[in-house]
Parts: sequence; C-alpha cells; structure tokens
Amino acid sequence: MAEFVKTDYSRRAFLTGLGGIGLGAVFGGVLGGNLLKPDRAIAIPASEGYIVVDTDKCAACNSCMMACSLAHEGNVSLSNARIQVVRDVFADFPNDIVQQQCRQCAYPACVDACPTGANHIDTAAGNVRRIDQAKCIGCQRCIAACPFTPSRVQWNAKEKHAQKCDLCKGAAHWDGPEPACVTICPMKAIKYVREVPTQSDSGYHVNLKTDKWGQANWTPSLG
Amino acid sequence: MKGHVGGILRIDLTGRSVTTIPTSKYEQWVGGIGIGTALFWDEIDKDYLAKSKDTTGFEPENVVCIVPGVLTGTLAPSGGRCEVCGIAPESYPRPLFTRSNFGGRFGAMLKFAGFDGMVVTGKADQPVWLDIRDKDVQFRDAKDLWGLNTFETQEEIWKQVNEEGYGDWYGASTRRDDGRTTQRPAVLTIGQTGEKLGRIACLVHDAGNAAGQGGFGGVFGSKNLKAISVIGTGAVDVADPRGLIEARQWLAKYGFDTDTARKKSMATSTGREFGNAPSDFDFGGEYTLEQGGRALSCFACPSCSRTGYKSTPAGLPGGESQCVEAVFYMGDDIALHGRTTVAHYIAGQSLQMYGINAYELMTGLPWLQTLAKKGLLGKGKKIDTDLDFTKTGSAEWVEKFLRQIAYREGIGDTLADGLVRAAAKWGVLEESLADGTLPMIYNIGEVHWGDEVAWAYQSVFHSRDLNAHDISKLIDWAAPSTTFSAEKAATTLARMGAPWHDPMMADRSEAGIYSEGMARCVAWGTRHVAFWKNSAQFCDQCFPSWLNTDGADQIGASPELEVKFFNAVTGEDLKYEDGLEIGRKIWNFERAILAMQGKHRDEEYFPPFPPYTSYVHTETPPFIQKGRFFTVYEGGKWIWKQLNFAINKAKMDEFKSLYYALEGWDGKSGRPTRKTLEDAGLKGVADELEARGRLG
Repeated sequence: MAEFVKTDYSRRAFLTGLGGIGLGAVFGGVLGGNLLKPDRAIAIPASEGYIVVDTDKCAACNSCMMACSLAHEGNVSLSNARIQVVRDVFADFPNDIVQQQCRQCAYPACVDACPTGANHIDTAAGNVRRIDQAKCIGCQRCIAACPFTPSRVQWNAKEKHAQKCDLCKGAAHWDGPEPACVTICPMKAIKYVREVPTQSDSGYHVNLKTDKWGQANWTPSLG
Repeated sequence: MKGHVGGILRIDLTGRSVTTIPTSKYEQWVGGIGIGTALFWDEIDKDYLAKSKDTTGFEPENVVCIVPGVLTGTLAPSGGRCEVCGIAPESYPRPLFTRSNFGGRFGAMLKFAGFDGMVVTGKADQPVWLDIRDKDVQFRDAKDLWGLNTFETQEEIWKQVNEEGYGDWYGASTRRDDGRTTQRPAVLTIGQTGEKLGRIACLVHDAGNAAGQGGFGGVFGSKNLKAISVIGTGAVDVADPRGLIEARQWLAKYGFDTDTARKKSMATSTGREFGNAPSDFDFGGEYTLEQGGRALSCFACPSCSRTGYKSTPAGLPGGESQCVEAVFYMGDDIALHGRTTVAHYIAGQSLQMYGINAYELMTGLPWLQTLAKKGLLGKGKKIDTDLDFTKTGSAEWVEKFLRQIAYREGIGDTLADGLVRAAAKWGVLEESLADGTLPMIYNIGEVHWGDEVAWAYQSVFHSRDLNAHDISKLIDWAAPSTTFSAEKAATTLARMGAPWHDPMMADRSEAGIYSEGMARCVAWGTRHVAFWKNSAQFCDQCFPSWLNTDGADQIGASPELEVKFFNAVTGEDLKYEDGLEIGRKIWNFERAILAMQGKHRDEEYFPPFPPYTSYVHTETPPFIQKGRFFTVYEGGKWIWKQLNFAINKAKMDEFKSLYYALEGWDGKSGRPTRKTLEDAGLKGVADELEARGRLG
C-alpha cells in the first residue's frame, strides 16, 4: 500500500495549490476515491521521472513501441506497448502523428480507481505510477479512469491484466540507464526528464531539436 | 524458429474459404520470397504454369503469395517489409513468375494478426475485400469500393472497420477481454488501374508503399479482390529481447546522428545513411523540409526514407512518395515552369492513387516524347492520341495522361499493358529497343547494363529488373566523388563475397565483365538478394553497409548487422554464409519455376531482343550517366577508370555458359539440372520438370 505524507492542509487549500497543473490531471479521476479522504488532504508524491517527446522529430517508425513491448513482455506487439504512437498517413505535418505516453500524472486517476492497490505509486522506485500484476484482478477500472485518449493504461489480452508505463522500473528484459523507448529512438525524439514538464491539455511540448535539425541525410546519385 | 507466428493464411476466393497452413511446413524457407516461392509451387496448377505462353496472368488459376520477412514485425531494421510473388501479367512476351515487395506496416500487422504469410487463389464471383482482424477473416462486399482510388479505398475501409476513427483503443472483436489496438487497419489495395486489369497496376499500401513491379494490381483486379485489410493485436516472439535492443544500439553507432547531422556512411547500397533525417530525394521545390515537415519512416526502420510535408494540395496528401514516383515528372515540370511547381507533386500522388507502376512512366514518358518528336505519335498520326506529348509539364497534362492509363481510355488502353507491349502493338518495338530509347527488360523495369552490369545480369537471369542496389554505391556509383580507393572497394566486396572472397568480383574491365569474377559476383548477388534481402528482409534502400567512417578500418556494419539481428530474433546460430546457401536454394527454386514456364537460354540477352549486334556501354536512356568510373584491375593494380565500350553479344554468350556452369545449370538451356535441384532439396521439383521436358 502506498504511503502518503499527511499534513494539516485543508482540502480546499490543497486543490487551489494544484491549479497550475491542468484541469485534466486534477479532475480526470474520481475525487474521493483512494487518494482523497473526506477529512484530510494528502500530498501525493510527484513522480521523479517523465517521458517527454518532441513531436516534430518523431518519424512514426514505432521503434519506441516495440522496444517497450520487448523490454517488458519479451515479444513485439503494438498492443502491449505502454507508449502509443498513432499516425494519419493522409494528414499533413504536424497533425499527422501523435505520441501518447503516460504522463505520470500529479494526480493519478488510474491509481485512484484501482480497488486492490495493484495500480499504485511506488515510493521505492521514484514514485512511478505502476501496476503490480500479481494484484491486478482485470477489472479495467484504471483503463476507464485515465482522462486521456487513448487510455494510457493498456489491456493485456493474453494475460488478462492491465499494464502501463513504469519508466522501465519493472522491465524484465531491460535495465539500461534510461527507459527502452528513450534509448531506441533513432530520431532522439524522446527524453527522460526528472522535473515535471510544463503541461497543457494537449500534452507536453518540448523542443529536443538542435541547430542541425532538418538537414537531409542523403543526396541521391541516381544510377 | 522464433520470428514466425505459426500459420499461413490460405484464401480461396472462388469458394470463399479460409484455411490455415502451419508455418512449420515451410520453416526451412524462412520467410519472404523463400516461403513465397515454395508456397507458390505447392499451390499453382502445374499445367497452368507450364503453358504460360498461352496465358495472360489474369486467369483464376494464378496464385498470389504475400509473405513478410521472418524479421518483419520486430525491431530489426526495415521491419515492415513484405514480399509478393506470383505470375506477373507485366512480363513480355509472356507472363513469368516474379516478385515485388513493399514497405510500410502491412507485413508487420499481418504478423501481429498471427500470420507468417498468405496465399490467394481463385476468383470471387463479385468484388470483395478481405477483413482480417487477428485470426478472424471475413469476405466483405466491395461494390461500394470498386471505382475508388487507393487513398479513398483505405479511408472507406478504416471507417468500416472502426467508425470511431483512430487514436483510441478499439477491439479486434466485440469481446471485452480480447486484444485491442490504437492503430488503423493496414490495407493493401488496388486503384482503378488494377480494376481495369492494367498489366502495370500496383498494389498500394498507406500513402505510397507499393508492390510496383509485375502487375499484381491487375491480378487482384482479375480476382475481383479490391483490398486486404489487417489489424493484429498479437505479438511476435523473439529469442533474445535484450539482444535485439542492444543490436539496435550497436547499429546506431554506424548511424547518422540527427542531432549533429554528422554523416558516417561511405558506402551503403544506395548510399543512404542509417539514422533518420528527412530525405531530399522526394518532391523538392516547395515540398521540402525547409517549408516545414518531418522525417517519415517505415515500420521499425532507423533509416528514414520519406518526408511528411506541411501543406499539401487539397486531396493529395504526401509523405510516402520518394524516388521514381516523386521525380518522374520533375524534368517536365521544370522545363515548362523554370522551377519545380505543384505539377510534379500532383503527378506523383496521382500515380499512387491510381496505382500505376512508376518505372513504366519514368522510362515511358521520355520514350513517348521521342515518338512524338519523330512524328509518329500525336493527333491524326500513326499512333493517334489527343494528348500532345510536346506540351508536357503542367498538372492538367499529367492528370489527363494518368487518367487515360488508369481507365484504359485513348492510348491509355494500350499503355496500361506496359511499354513493350505498346511498342509491339504500334510496330515500333525493334527500333525503340535498338536505338536505346526503350531500355526495358522483360517489360519490367530498367536494364541497367550501362551502369550496373552485375545487376543487369542478375535481372536477365530472373524475370524482372531485380532493383538490386547492393553494390551500387560501392562499385557502380562511387567514383569520382568517393573517399575510398578502388582497391578498398574490391577487397570490401570480396570480404562479403562468400564462398569465393575473390576481389576480381569487382573487375569491370572489358574482359572482367565476362569473367569468372563477374560470374561469382552475379551468383553472390542473387543469393544475397534471395535470402538476406527478400526473405529475412533487409531493405535494399540502405543494406548492405559496406564502408563507414566509424567502423574499424572503415569497414561498415555488414554482414555482422544481418547476422546479429537475424539470430537475436530467431534464436538460430546462422552465419552469413549459411544464409547465402539458403539463398542459393531459393534462387534455384525460382529458376526452376521459370524453367517450368519455358524460359530458355536463348531469351537471356540484354535488349534489343535477338537478332541484334551490339550497343554502347554508356548509352543514355533516361538516367544513366555517361563517362562513369568503375573499379578496374589493370597493370597489376586497382584503379577507378572511366569506361566506354560496347557489350559484345558473342562474349555475353560465353559468359552465360560460364555462369550457368557455376550455378550447376545445363549449358544448352540454362535450366537447373537434377543434381543441382536435388542438392537444394528440390527432388520433387526436378521430377515435375523432367516429366514436362523442362529439366536442365
């Protein structure tokens, strides 16, 4: 069971203090669930790590998705990937590709929704919001609770449990210094950061481009 | 082996039946063209195969195999590629067994659905599309799709499979606990050209991945098959997950660094880097990265090939066109407007939407313009057309031209059967082949004899321009701008050129191109292409990696690259040479099928078809450059030398005998012998050939 820091803050003062983080993060979950009890407010420990993506750099190669699936499940499946990239091949840049990674929300609605504590904040692992598979009963409430589309919690149809990004803390096949998706991205479009990124309802916006960005890597010499 | 997902889908369109063949039956053929060839052989009616002279390829008896590589659907680079094979209507003078392949994500999605490949036989009684959702396969009525272009078809199918749009989880089935995906279905479709039984019709996937050669779009059309749609929520098992991720990290050391823009590749196949950045080998002009855009990649591939643009003309989205389809109209556009405009962009995208083979137009448009200049083609001329080929360059002109081909209107009706057939019909074939204005081989692709002789030989012994760039940047396109010596090129080729490891494989002197060294180079090339390129699959775009600034002694990542990824996925302990040996078997299997169709030594010359005398080595069909430099062994050392000599028919005849002997083929016919086929584990194939008098 997660441990929380108890303070004397009133609930109203706490919620006011959260105002800068974005409506989705605050109100997406069910207030009064596991995290917020009627008589006292609890300070939810923030995650010590976040995945951010420079959406312009992404080439939709899906390598991040596959590396994630490999790192956790030992196989390659887009449905198992805890970071999703979706592409509209008939749309123009920049609206053609969207990356949908878990935001390690300040107020994790998925944690709040879990009836067994499977989906929890792991204070021994940098406060990452992760799912203990042994405790998951497959109710899928966390999947429904995620305020984002698509839900950042996946359904593992083969093993019948929920799963989500754990910043590779529990990745059986990967123990590199950074999450597998960060390591694999050939565009260096994904970064692992330790501070809460500036958010809006449309996501994190980061610029990972250098001044060398955009130079073509090949000039044809036709046969 | 791992990398396989267990089953091959067998679709009988006539009886609308679906069965699954266990992949284990074909495991020795590994994937892609290996499995495709073996599958084709088992499924095809041998009588139909043997009488190819009397067929079109549009009969229900034709069989199409669609088989991803064994590494497709994993993190191995170019993990999206998929092979197509069957009898090609495009071949001239008769349909021949051939292959084509395409990238994107369809092959991967098919694996995630649980299939290592599929074979389609028969003919549906009315237009259908196949709706594959994991292991569930349905025949859907395609009457509302028939007549739509390739882009419209895909959008309509996406709506039918998931009305909610994409980007949210949706189920492969309606059951709560079944697999889900956020991805749109991967669709392989034909446009109007295929519906009209165009022999130059392609299969198109997403915005421009195409199986272009062979006319398989027309084969689909003849089967009343409009499209195949797949969603897969399953997984591909790999033997060494950590090893596979680490292999990508290892490869990145040889790769273009997108943050420093430092190029490292001295020679890959086409010269392309590993490591993504937008390519300038696409539309150019106002459609460049400078206007705003991104790099776009095929599934799993760390070598970006395409550019996604910021604001494309309405209804003509870009992103997956490159190379020939992007540039075929560029010269005309510039000639008319003084610079590139939206005209050549519209040309490329229209071609994708109609599903027309870009190579036919790249070669064909200049040829048609030559006919117009000669006074043979035009309004009221011998070849009557309302298209004025002296007034190209505008968007309106090319839209009309492509539309006529797609709908078989005007001269489009003749051009839809391919350039060589058109030339024959118009009575200009011999002169066009002889004067070099129509450099086609077997009516599929360019000949390349003028610049890439080894590639040209590989093609003439196969059934199409093999489009095998393997040694292009190492040998054929390298000098004079290269940073490595001719000796380095020769020894680097020898390093991979198993089993002979003979530097003379690189000798392009006037004696060298008919020598034992050339025979070995051709043999190595066919085996490398059959296995490592088209069965594993590694994309021709940037593999092999020959020379690299960051390699020890500038040696590139191949063949360690191919072996590392293959073994990490499959769990095998395959050596590079072992793969070549499987490639030799596949090559002989393909050769046997062609023998079954009656292909004979007497047909295997560079155009013009016999009788002919000789032609200049550096003649200039559309994009061959005069005065090329090649590796030549002269005076006891290797030099880069400009060449300019004619290829000699008598010497080519001698070379053929040399090459056939090396491969174990009969000298008189060029067909595989019983011994060679049995050594390849193909006794049954030898028996069948012998029964029909087609054994070497």
